[in-house]
Amino acid sequence: MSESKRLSGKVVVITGGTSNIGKGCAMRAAAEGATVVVTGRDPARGAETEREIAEAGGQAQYRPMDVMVEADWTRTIDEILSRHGRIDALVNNAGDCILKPIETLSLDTLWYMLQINLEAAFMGIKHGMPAIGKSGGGAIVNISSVAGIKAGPNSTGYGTSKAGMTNLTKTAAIEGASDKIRVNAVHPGLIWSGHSQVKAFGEEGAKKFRAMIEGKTPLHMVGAASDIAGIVAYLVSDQAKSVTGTEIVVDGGYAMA
Amino acid sequence: MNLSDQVAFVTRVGTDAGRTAALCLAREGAAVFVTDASPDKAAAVAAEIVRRNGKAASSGHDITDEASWDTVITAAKTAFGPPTILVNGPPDTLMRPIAALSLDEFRRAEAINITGPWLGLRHGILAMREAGKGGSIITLSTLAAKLPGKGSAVNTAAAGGVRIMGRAAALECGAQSDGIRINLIEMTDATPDEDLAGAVLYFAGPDSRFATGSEITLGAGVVL
Repeated sequence: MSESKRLSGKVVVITGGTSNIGKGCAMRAAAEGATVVVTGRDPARGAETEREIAEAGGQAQYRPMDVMVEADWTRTIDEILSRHGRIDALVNNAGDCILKPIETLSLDTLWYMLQINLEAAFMGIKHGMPAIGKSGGGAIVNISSVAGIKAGPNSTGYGTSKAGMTNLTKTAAIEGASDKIRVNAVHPGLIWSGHSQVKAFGEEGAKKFRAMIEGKTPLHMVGAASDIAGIVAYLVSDQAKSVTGTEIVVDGGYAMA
Repeated sequence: MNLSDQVAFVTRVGTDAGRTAALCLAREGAAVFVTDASPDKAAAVAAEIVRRNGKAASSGHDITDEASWDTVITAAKTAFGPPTILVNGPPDTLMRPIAALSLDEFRRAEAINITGPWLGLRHGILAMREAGKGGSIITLSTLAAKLPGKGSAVNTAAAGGVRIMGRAAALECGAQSDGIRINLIEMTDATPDEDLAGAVLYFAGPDSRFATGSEITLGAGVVL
């Protein structure tokens, strides 16, 4: 099979698919022939993602959805099944990151981290697995973080939510195996999107943050959304049919340094 | 995936996994220099690649011997230029309880399974640094690092060794900013050829430019 069209005929659902890593995964999956459903909370970005993928010759559809709301999951999965007839892959990408020292991290913020990063992936698996199973099997990819394998300061909320995702991934891989559903986690290092880091740290702060991370990363670089899109496309494809319950680290070597 | 500007070097192509790695890299356009302890087996894989309109050359190769590495790397450079991709072929699996294994047998196995890949890292890094274009080194290993079993002492030592050794090498390459990435593929005897090919091509190609010290486990979940 041609490397460039590995996902032809597949329906791939990507949460948080209208920006950053999720959008990169959507563009790549569409370029490899998938019919892509992107979910998100911003209709304007959803429409823009649909348009950009269509202009590149791909097929994409935006579905408004809040991954923290279970009713949104059941409704969205039902809508996708009635429109496309199948779901071959789900990429649990939507998430958020708040970093604070434990003494100033509120319990509400901890709950929010667990909700958006861990509960959302749990619900995606819970509601996505039956749909993928009925479609004859497929793949779930959980977008985790290096923070889920390497402890760091200010990460009791974020890091804990991502570390939890590891066990969730492995358990789901065991439970999904009989229905030919593979479940894997990807641990990205810092993926530079520019505007989100500037929003978090300010113009100067973002520059300093990037230089600090590059200095600690063996490959001396930050990643791009396309770097995660490449491994996700591989994991969703049939080339990865022996890969389940694994954690794949794509971080320039950051976590081991 | 277009690897037509790449030169790949693959050892132990007399094994199924080594041959699969060589064939998939050639299929994507890389010129491939293939080696094996048996010159005939290496030549047969090169001939197969050429028959499929790929570019290949071959040599006999004792991966446990440093002088042999010098010779084959020079031969590869002469044939196609310095390698930008190097694949350490798979280990030799030896199932034997420790009590029934002689020290000589252990040493022979580890010469192939640890010394060989170590020399592959060393000579791959040296050749890639000399060429100054970076590169990708991929070591093929087994699940034994994660799945110890009765009689697998030799295999666990080798798989655990190459796994961590590769990470150390990845850190060293990072410290030199030489653009060399070092990654690992773990597989079983039952791993289908096309699955191994997918993982090899991921680590060989530009999709993995942000991955070093990483691994893909083609275990169908057995380690769970």
